[in-house]
Amino acid sequence: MSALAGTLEGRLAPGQRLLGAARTALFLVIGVPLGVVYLVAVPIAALAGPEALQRLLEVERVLVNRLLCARIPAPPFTPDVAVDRRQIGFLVAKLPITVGAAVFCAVPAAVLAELVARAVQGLAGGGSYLGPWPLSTVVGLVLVALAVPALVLTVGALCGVASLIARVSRRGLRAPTTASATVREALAERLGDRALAIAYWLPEREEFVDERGDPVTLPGPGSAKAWTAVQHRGSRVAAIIHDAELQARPELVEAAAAGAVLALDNERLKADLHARLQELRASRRRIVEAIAEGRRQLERDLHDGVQQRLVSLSLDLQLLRGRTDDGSSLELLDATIANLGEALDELRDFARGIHPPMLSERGLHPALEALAQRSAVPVELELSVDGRLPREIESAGYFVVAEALTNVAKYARATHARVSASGAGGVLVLEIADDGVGGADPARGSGLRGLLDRVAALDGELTIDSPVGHGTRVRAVIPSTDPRA
Amino acid sequence: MLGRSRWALALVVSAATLVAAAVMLAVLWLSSDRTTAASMRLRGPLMGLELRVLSGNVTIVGGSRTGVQVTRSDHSVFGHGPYQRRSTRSGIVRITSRCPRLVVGSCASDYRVDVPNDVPISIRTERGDIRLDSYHGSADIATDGGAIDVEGYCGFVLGAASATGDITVASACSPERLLLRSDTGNVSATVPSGNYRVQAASSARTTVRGIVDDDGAPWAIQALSNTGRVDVSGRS
Repeated sequence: MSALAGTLEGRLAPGQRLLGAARTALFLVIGVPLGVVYLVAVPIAALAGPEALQRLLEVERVLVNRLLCARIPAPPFTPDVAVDRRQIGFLVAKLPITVGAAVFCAVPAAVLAELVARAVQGLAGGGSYLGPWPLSTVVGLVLVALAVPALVLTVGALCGVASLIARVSRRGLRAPTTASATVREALAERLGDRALAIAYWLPEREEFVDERGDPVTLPGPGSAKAWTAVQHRGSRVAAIIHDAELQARPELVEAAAAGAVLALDNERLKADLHARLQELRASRRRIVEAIAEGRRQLERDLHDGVQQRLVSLSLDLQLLRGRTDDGSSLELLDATIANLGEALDELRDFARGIHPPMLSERGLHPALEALAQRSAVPVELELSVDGRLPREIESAGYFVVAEALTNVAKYARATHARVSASGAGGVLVLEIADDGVGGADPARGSGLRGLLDRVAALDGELTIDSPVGHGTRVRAVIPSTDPRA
Repeated sequence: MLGRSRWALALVVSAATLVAAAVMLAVLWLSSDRTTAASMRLRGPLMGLELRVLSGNVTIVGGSRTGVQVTRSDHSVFGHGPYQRRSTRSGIVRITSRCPRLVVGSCASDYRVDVPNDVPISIRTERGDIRLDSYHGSADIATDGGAIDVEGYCGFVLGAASATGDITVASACSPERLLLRSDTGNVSATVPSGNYRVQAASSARTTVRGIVDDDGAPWAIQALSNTGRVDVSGRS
């Protein structure tokens, strides 16, 4: 069989080419009546069900593999047999494909047969004429010499046809990919190990990961599990983690792995992509967390540093005022104390804008209540967020509401706003709606755009619905459980 | 071991070799293709004519008043043409035309023979059509691979057999016996209307019209074909 495989690759000794050509000729001879059978049987099998069609496909697969060495893997053993139109079409097209191939090969073969027949006739002293020359021994020898290139062409045509049919068959007979027919399930079924798992090797990260891209630790010695490395063209592709008992039959695992190596390599690439995506998500989340942490630190520094010193300074001024009787000095002190009070209020507002201390200390629910109280527009609250959420989630949720209410106050010309927050089911859902003029466009302002990015960094989704004249509705859905957990 | 490029080279060289050989043969063929014509007149009393042609068409024209005139057209390639042999025994002239066996190309000899009426003729060809035109007399004609067409026939016995070709006979008078047989071709006979002993059969369609099938009739028609259609009709 490997000889024919080599024929298809085009690097073979003449004898092996002849063997390959003979196999192809046999394939064509069998193929024509079989094609007729398929034409009749496929409609009947289609009525009978996919199992019947699968049997026909299996006959063809075995024939192509044995005679043309197409190396088409067996379809995965799945409870729900699937046959698609491509496979049915291939079976129906078998007859014209085979007939076409046979006709193509018949031309040089007929020339060869004629040359051989005339050569024999000439060597036997035939009595006919070939062109101006009588068919003699000399002419017979010339015809024998001409039969060699005819043989080469015949073998070439058969090998070319074999290669073409093998390629077409690989496409036509390949099992359809279905959700239930993953590589893992196919290998699990074949090896009789339902708990079989596959770890894909990522060379850049030098670690094994599962299909989602999460790192996998291979079982060590003495474990009930064992693993078999799968290699493709000298490179590590994956590891099959299977029952340790299968180690007694390594050839079984290796054969199954060899049959699935291409699919495993494809799955490895997908796992690599998933791992990169996870890395990217984690990176974005870390950035958001770092920014939130920076804001918290800044707010604490302001609170504990400048704000406390200003408060202390205000108290000192109050003490000084109590010790002074001069009317003009009192006026100046009162003005200074008032200015200092305003500066403190502004500083508190600024610090709150950076990161509200109530959010850090008491959570989203009280922070949103405080935010609503400070709003310039009356806000109706509907909150059902119990307990604490991850800090970056609370922070993102708070700033979504804060930015939305700021926009309501600044641009919406609304008389009323409503804020709802729900933290059930591992998802924080926030909705801020007003009865203003609408027409908000995230593309025109950096505030909403920043919120979109911030929510997206947490795998969340922010939608803004703001038809002109019908108010604005901002809705944020943020997963509140850590995906890494 | 043959690498991919060496194998491709072998294929190209092989194809070129065969094409070169074929082109050389084709050039020789075209340059040697010849057609020659010859004519002869047979004198003396004539009791019959036998013509055996391996390859070529034969046309017999009856009613000649100047004896037998044989006109031959020979087709040859590569210098290999037909050769003819003529002999006379007991007043019967026998002409045989043969061709050498050629692997490539064809050799043929087409005959036109003008014969007086009532000279019995016997014609055999392996490959070629036979045509009888206004011939009066008895004729026995057969071909392995060609059609037989008889027009204006009048005589006692006409036997025509073809392996693969059609047989078409139009008789000007009622023949005593008309024997027409083809294996795969169609058989068609048109005779003056009247009573005949008719034997017409075929696995395909058989039609007899315009004549009366009468076992006591003096004239007989046998028209048979294995797979072709048989059509016997009377002409008023």
